[in-house]
Amino acid sequence: MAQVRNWQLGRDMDYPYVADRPAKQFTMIMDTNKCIACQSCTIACKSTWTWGKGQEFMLWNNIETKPFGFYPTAWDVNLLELLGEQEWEGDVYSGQTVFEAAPAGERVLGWTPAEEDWSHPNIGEDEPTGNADDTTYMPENPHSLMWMYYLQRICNHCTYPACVAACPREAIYKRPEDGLVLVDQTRCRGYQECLTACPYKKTMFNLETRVSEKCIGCYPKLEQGLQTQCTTACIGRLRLTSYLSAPDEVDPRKPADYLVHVRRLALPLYPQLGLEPNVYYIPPVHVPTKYLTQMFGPGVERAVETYRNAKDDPELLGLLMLFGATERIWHTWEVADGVARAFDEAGEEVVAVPLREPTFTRPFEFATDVAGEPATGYRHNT
Amino acid sequence: MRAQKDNPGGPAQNPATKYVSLFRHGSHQSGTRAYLRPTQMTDSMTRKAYFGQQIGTGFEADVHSPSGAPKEGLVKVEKAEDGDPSGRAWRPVELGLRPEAPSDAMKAYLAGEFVTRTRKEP
Repeated sequence: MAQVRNWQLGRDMDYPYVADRPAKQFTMIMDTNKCIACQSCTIACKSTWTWGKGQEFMLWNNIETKPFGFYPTAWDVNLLELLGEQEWEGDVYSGQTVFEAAPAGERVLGWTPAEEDWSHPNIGEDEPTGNADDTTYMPENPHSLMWMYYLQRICNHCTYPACVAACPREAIYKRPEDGLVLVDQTRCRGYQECLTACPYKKTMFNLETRVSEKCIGCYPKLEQGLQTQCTTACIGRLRLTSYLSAPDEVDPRKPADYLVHVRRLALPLYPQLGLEPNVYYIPPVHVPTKYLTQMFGPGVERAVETYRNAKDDPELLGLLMLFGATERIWHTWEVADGVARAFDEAGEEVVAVPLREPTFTRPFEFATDVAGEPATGYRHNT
Repeated sequence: MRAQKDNPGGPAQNPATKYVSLFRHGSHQSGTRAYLRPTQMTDSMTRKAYFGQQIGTGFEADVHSPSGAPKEGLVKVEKAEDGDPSGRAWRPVELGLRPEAPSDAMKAYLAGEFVTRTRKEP
């Protein structure tokens, strides 16, 4: 085991391979507050990548209702139960990661989903906690009795992937140019160690080809400077495909660095597992803090407060407004005169979005024209 | 009625009037044959309340008011898996993943008890 730095845990941790950060790291930012679970992303992904034989059950991208939705069944409850209760001391994780808690002879603590576990992607859909009869709908914020929200899930393209750690064939690798985690289809022998190891359960076994496959981050689009299918299909404009700098090379002009490292508004999913996942979530504002801390780590209160104040924060608001505004990947942005503008690497403007949509007042065509009365009312149909 | 019996594979066409009925059976053919359309006969229909976990029967405004139950909601029911409230429940309930019967792990998960955070003294 090597010692690697995991900035999300605030400490070093054990990992089977030495740290080798890519030149730039693929990342996706998700604003959970905007999602309506329309599954446009899921269908965009499905119809692009997993329409073939043996891929019928596969959803590289899925939206699940939390807390009762799972794909595969019970993926996070099972893993958390296996790992047991763990602790954060302030912002430093003092518990065990899935690498440190690995049983003797194994590299990663994990569990293997049954075939049926992949068959119910819509389990618990739209299911809130509690009963409407026991409470008013929104007694306080965050809601203590009734709540649910939607979680957008793709492969996290982790900095320290458990699938890479567990693969006995070294068939899974992290691309040095953009940090995507990919399965070499010719090296894979279908041992399915990655399915057991990945805590997010985002590697899948193809029953037709007998090898494993997973989300590829739409790399053919990335290579053309375009955002992923799930990002561009999102009608809620809640996703941003971007690149994250290494934690010691943070550049606040870059959108992902700004959201993740500077404002700490976007948080990793289950950081305590130790994989340093690279999909970041703006947490839902109405969900109990203790549950959110379990899911997104210790920064949730601060992130929710920042999000609530975004309306008075033009730089942040402008950045959030640029989500989903263009298919192209952009690298910097600025907000001036009520307009947010995004720029490519050469500094050319990619897209401009007004912070406030302009409104127009229609001319008063049908004013009442009655002698002695002010012309203030619309004429009724008579 | 006679037409649909006479023409097992063909259209339900009235031989006298040549009228072709859209539906071969039931009160869809006539607005006067039943007081309510079958889709609005909710007295014994099992449904879940719109918000929350309560299962019940009968009319529920949130569920039935907009248009009645959709026609495609009237289906032939066959047993697919265990789901009898008095016996074995369907798999997610057996696994303790459903809101009405959560397992200990699910209860801890809902309460966020798998992680505790102690604050560092400044």
